[in-house]
Amino acid sequence: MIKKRWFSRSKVDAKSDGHKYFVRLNFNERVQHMIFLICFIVLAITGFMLKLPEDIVQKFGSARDIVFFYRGILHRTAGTIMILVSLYHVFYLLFKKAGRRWLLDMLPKFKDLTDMIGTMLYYLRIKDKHPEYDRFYYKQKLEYGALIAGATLMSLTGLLLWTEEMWPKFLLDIATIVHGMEAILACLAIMVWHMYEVHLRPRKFPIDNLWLTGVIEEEELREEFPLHYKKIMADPELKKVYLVPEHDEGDASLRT
Amino acid sequence: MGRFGKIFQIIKKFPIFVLKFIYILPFLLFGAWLLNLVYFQPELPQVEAKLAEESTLVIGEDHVFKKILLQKDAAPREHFHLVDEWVTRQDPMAPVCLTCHGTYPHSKEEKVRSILNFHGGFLACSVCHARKEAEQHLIYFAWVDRETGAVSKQAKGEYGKYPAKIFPIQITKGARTRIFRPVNEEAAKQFLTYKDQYTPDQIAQAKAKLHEHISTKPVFCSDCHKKEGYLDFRDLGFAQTRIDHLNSTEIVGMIEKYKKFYLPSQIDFGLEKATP
Amino acid sequence: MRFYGLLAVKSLVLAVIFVILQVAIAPAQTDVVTDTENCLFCHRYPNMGRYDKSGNKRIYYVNEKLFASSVHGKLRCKSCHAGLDEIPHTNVKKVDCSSSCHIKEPSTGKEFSHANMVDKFRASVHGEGGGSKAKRYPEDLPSCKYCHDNPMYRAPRGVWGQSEALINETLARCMGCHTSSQWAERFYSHFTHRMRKRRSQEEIVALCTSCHEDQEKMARHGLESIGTYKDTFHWIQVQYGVKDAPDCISCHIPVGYSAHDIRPRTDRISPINMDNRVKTCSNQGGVQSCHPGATTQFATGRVHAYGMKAQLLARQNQSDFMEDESISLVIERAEKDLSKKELFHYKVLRLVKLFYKILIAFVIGSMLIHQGLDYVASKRQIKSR
Repeated sequence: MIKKRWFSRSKVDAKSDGHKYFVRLNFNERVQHMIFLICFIVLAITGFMLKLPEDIVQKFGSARDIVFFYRGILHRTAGTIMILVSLYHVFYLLFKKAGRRWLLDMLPKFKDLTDMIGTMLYYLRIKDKHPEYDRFYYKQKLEYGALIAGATLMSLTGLLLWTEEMWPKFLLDIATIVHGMEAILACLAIMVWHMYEVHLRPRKFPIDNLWLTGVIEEEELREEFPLHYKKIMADPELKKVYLVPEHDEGDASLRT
Repeated sequence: MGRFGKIFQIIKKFPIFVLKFIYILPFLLFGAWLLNLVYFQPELPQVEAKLAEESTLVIGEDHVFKKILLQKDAAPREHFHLVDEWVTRQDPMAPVCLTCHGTYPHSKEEKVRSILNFHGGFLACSVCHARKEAEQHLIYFAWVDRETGAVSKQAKGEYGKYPAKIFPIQITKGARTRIFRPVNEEAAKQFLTYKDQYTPDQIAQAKAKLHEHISTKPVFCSDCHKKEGYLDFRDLGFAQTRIDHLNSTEIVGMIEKYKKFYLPSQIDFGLEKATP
Repeated sequence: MRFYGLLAVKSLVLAVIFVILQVAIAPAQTDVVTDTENCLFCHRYPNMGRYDKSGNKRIYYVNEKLFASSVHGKLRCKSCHAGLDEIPHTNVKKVDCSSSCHIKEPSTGKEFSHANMVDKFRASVHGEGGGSKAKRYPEDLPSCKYCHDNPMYRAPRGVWGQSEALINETLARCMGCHTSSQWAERFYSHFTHRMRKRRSQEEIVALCTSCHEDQEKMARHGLESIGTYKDTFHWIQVQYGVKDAPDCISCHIPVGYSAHDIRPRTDRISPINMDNRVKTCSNQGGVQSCHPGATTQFATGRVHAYGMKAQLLARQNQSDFMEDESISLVIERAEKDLSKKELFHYKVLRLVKLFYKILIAFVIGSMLIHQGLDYVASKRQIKSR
């Protein structure tokens, strides 16, 4: 069963292996994630190209002005798309049923604080088990919050720099520093926090397929998000939303 | 299980470690670079560092020597006339003498030094400066290619722009050609390695020894620039017109004129000035 | 009496030899150079040169072909190296670019001279200054030759991206009357040379930074090193070889200003004076307008990064440096150059940077610790099962 994790968890697997699957990310969310992910990578590459040491820039040879031209175009395009996706996400949170559910589950609660402390105690071997997490636990909430803050700052400063002629140079200087530093912070945080979570964590390597399939195995859900699992099992309404029906013809995660 | 089982397990796990490592490596490098951007960028200019070193900025003459050190090009920055590859080229076959004496070794005789210096472009120092020694040995003169070291008796090029330099060649019994070198190249290199350890006295001693075989009376202009001179221009492959030119009234006349100003002095190689 | 007799003989010999040199060897010269003085008789030999007493390498070799195709290629040697009439050259005078040569300047019919430029240059920041404004280290200042090599006339090529065909067409039209193709190309180059930048942006930056990056040299004059330019987006563009990327002269000598007449930024006619900034940034009259919509607020801001001056002024205890002659000179100038507002901006920017440095260290540090603990715990959990 663990071996199977290495490969894509297709519908066929879901039907044939007789396990129950639960929706973690619906189709809409997965598309949002995908677009955001691509934009992020493009932005990081085209952005940090400005910080390359001089000798590496020289390696682009005579084509380096063309490289620079497309760098700028790509950076702005990706930035625009990222802003649009972010705006859509806000719309999604407010006006879609699944979005509202997401928002409610994502809101910070007192339990997150106790969860965090509990987890620390678990890490330090003071407790045997980590706290029972709900649908989103503190780690993901922190990351989500950082994402919102970062995207807002980057968009604002990016737009400022894009329309530089309209603003005082001092504001632009601050925007430059914030844009650069925030980018570094974001990249480092993504690598340490997020990429570890989905790639390097024991049993997740090389990659957690969740971002493509959107579903999680029953056992994994029970283990990682016990409270969420219990809630689903206790509530037939939630079961309808999260449980992928066996022998379903369509992709369950498409239903929201 | 047993020992083999354990080893087998390690081997089985190994590819995953490698995979993980390869996977993480670019991210580690990228992360390190990002951190470097934030924390290890030099703040320009480093006033603080200067203060810590208690070194003040250089004022006055000192910077002249730094300027010389920083000058990397063959032609100085403020040289106005365009220079070509003859000025910038590397000369792998150059005599070891130039390591100390530079491209323009003649400096004393103000009125002819530049003219003597351009002869260094196509004559090895030993042609003129080892006259007596050369006469003792059986030698002949020939062109030695700057790049390959190939010996020939054909003059290619014109007006100082030859792909080869004239060297004295020792006549040996075998077929091997040997360049006659009054200053042993190895000895000179050895001297250079010890130079910093020597006391002023020792430097003077070493210099004397190093220049042991250098003639005190070098070959003079008029020794060559005349008919049947020190160098056999015909044997060196010069065309008759060029030979006539080299022995012509203009050149010979100029030399005659110089004689009035420039009576070659004895060369002492700065032995008297050896103590710094 | 005997002395005079000797002198007379000596002069006679000299004169005779010189005449012989000039006349007798004339056929030996190449036909590209107007070497009527036959200087190439000696100066064509590559290794001609020496080291002078100030430690400079003097190259006396002249490549006749390169020289002939250079801007000064039509001049005789003595046009610039005036008064050289003795061999050996014991009476050498320094070449003076402001002297007039025997070429007629066509618009006035007078003898041509670079004196106009030299006069402007002497009054500019790079000039030695006079009286109370005399520079303290005049040897640091650039001479004409520091920036001007003797450039080649390049093969006529595009002016602002014009095609080769157009140039050939134009040249063909010229040569309808002016039949010498060599002359026509020279003349054409002479014009088009002034319609485009000869040096690339990188070459310009390299030229200016060859002095202005030298921190010690700059501090001797109370200036800060130009490393502050290399912190700008302008420089990044230059590095990437972007066409029309702004180099030093784009802002400091925009259209309508002369490179020989660079003034300090406090001077009212300086393009980087606050009053002229909007015009400089928008460069409306120029071939390329960089920031056409530049507002005063945008244009009057700091372009280079804040450097040594701001750093020194922001320090509480400047007395640390007072013993250092050059640094106190920099402080003195900084007090004049940096406004209180700019100093405040510098401090704010420094704070923002510091804030992020701490934030990144704190956030990423705690994340690393957290994930490390998580990794160990996860491994433990897997093992225990």
